[in-house]
Amino acid sequence: MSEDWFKPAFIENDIKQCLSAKTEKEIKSKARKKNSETNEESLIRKSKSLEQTSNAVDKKRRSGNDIENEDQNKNKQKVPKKRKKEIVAQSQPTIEISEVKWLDIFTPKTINELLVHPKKIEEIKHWFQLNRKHPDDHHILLLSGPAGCGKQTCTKMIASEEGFNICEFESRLDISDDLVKNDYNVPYENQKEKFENFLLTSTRFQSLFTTKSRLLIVKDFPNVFLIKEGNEEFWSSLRKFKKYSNAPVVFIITESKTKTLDLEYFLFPENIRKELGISKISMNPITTTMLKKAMKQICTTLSNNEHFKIPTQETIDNIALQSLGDIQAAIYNLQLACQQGPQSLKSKKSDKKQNVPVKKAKKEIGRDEQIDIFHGLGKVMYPKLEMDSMTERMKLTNNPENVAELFYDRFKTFTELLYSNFLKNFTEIKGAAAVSDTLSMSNIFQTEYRQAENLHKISLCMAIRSAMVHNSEGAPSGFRPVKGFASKKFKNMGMNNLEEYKKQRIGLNGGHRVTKKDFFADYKMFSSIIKPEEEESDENEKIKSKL
Amino acid sequence: MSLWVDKYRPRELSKLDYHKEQAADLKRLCEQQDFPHLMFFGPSGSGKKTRIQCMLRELYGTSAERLRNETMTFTTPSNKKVDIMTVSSNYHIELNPSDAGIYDRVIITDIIKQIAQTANIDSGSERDFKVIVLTEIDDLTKDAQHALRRTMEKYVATCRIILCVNSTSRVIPAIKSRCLGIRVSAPSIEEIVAILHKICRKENLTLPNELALNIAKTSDRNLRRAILMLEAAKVQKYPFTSNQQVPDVDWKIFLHETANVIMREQTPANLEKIRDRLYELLSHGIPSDIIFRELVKILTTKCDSEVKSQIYGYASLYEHRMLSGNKPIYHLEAFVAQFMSIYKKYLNDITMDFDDD
Repeated sequence: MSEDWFKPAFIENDIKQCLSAKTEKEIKSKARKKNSETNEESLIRKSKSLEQTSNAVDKKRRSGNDIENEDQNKNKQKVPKKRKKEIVAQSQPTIEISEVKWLDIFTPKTINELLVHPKKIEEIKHWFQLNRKHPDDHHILLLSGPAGCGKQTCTKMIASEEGFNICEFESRLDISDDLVKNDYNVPYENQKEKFENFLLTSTRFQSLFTTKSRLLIVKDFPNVFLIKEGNEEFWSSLRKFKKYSNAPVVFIITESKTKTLDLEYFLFPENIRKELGISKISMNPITTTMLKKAMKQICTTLSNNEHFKIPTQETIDNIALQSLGDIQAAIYNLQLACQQGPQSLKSKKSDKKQNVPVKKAKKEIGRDEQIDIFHGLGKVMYPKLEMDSMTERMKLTNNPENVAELFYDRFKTFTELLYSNFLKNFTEIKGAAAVSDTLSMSNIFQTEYRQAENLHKISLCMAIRSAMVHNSEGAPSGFRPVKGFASKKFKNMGMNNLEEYKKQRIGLNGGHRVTKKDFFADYKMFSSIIKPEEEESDENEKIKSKL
Repeated sequence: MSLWVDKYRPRELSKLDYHKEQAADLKRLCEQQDFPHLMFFGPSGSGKKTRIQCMLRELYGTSAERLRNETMTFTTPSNKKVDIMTVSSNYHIELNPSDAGIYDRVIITDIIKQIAQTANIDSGSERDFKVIVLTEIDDLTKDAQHALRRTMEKYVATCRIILCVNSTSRVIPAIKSRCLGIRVSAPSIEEIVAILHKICRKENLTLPNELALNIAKTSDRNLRRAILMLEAAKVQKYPFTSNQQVPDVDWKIFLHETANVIMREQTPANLEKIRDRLYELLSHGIPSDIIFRELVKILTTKCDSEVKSQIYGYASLYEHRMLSGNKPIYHLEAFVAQFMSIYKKYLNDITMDFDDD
């Protein structure tokens, strides 16, 4: 496959990363120079180890992998290409750990080392076995799960154990610079055709060297399928595949909370799954305990390595919590924490209190928190206060701006929900009036469409902050269910009235127009008195009697 | 059977009951060759539309009264189809662009342009222009108003535009300066009473003067409402008695009740009840600005003059916000909340004073 093409770009990225890491170190080392001479020595040692690392990895890769890469490896430094998500303690700790991405090093080697729940592994294995027996019924597998839960690694590992050769689809479009430089006729490939080719032809001919059958893995979907109506084309490709090929294929999909990015919803809806007999296995995020265990193991491996400060148990716990079951994120953070975290923090904190730096670290590491809109609403409506150790004053535990940040994309819904619910949590009219005032202001900001983006953010921040700050008495105790939009109740009534207007307006004013305003403010009520015979429907009467 | 409001609507400029001087001016304007764009403004129920219709008749004769209803369809840039009702004769077309909500600009640019571009085919008429009557221009978005300004300039050879607005404050200056503004003020109480008597004479009814005065007063100098009230009163009870109950508009009664609820208790829980009531009014199609104005009027009569200035201050603030915002309920409620807060503080202060004594 064309995967060889894209390697140069990859390598370059990695080299750049290494280089930037190096320059970072240099800057730091300059700062540290004044303190001690020994640091300088360590810098030299480190830069040496950088070279060693890439060479060592290169060697490892060459010996471990196929022959196909041999030629390219000669003139280019090679770093393992595939992103691995699982880690275990490596049996032989070497110096090379210092600069490479840890994700590549601490990849699990056997199924037992996987962090995925054994039952899920069983489930995937079972599918492979079924596929062997009835290839027609168990032809396509859809594997979904949140980012970094080990979908890919798990599949690959099980597949190789079950005796499959893995064939992975690449849909990257970035072509490295030197390729373009050397050859101006870089062939353009239709991504859709490429995908179909991959599905249909890559398993057509049996390999000469092995007797193993092939397993197709698709993780990156060509962009053409992701645009409007692209899913139809995707389905037609799938149908063709189902018809002509019998090689097993695994589609790996990362779950997403936003509907527009939800590939499973878009590409694999229920009816298509049924039609093509696609089995579905969804994986859960990795448990915090497992994450902690894995990180501990890494730490023990590193304990005799002088380059790293082993982070405290507390930091590890924080990382595990913050990464929300994402092993990738956890490992990145652990590497960060080991390389610079504790050191730099120690030098800074000096006379400040003990718990401040830890908290800071907790905030900085970790990926974006994703919380439910109702959870966010709870944070806003029941604000918690804590004592600020710096200023000796009470402050909000959750910074309103941070909460607002999570809901920028849903600012309208959030404001509306907040509006519908805030009154119940107030006991004093003064605070409620202040919040009301802010909501009215934020409505004006939301009406503005020109410099919309910033204003919308500000409007949400304002609303949230005001709701959190003005409730000085605190919410009354007791359970209050969250209400939906307050306007919803009256929507139907509004529609009915509008229909009525459309029906009646023609007869009024001798054929001339009666505006909506005039109709509702004047005509409607009186004409019902004057011409009662036209007001028959009970519903209208009901509404009227209510009013 | 048509309503009295429609039945006794004057059809000619010379038959108008009040603002006679202005009517004569309008007549002279129609006789001239040089006819400008016009903008009628004034409170609702003062007779703007009546005057426009009379002018059309003056311009084109009775054939301008042969009306047909048409539904025009247009496509928005986002490929959404929107229908809009129009009323037209051979010489003029009436439409309300704000019916299309946020797509009002498309109406102005597409439909009006399309009408304006074609010249009058009927060579028999002495006028070489058509008239486009646009109502509720003050509810148009700024974008639409700017589009309109351009249309007014460009197609002045083939058409004249007559605008009908309640308040000029929301019309952009560029449009105001392109029109001859004609203010139609609300009729005085005496004028309304005279008109009511006139109608009753034609209907062969006897109307006690007290009742006529009563109706005129409750109608807020809105002639349309006054005539509707008269007819409703007739249906409810005839022969008239001088102290007969005048049927007031239902939403006004509802607002009075709402104001009472506000005065009774000033708590967030109560505010929530008010919110529901306001929602109910809005979903019945009562315009938010009318609700706001009436509510302020009622509330200020109920409270002490000490807090009135504060309340008027907040009322003007939130009314302004309501006009620039898109969710009237937020601003209405903010006003009510602010009122409650001020009023409660005032009440507390009073009781404190008592305690001091």
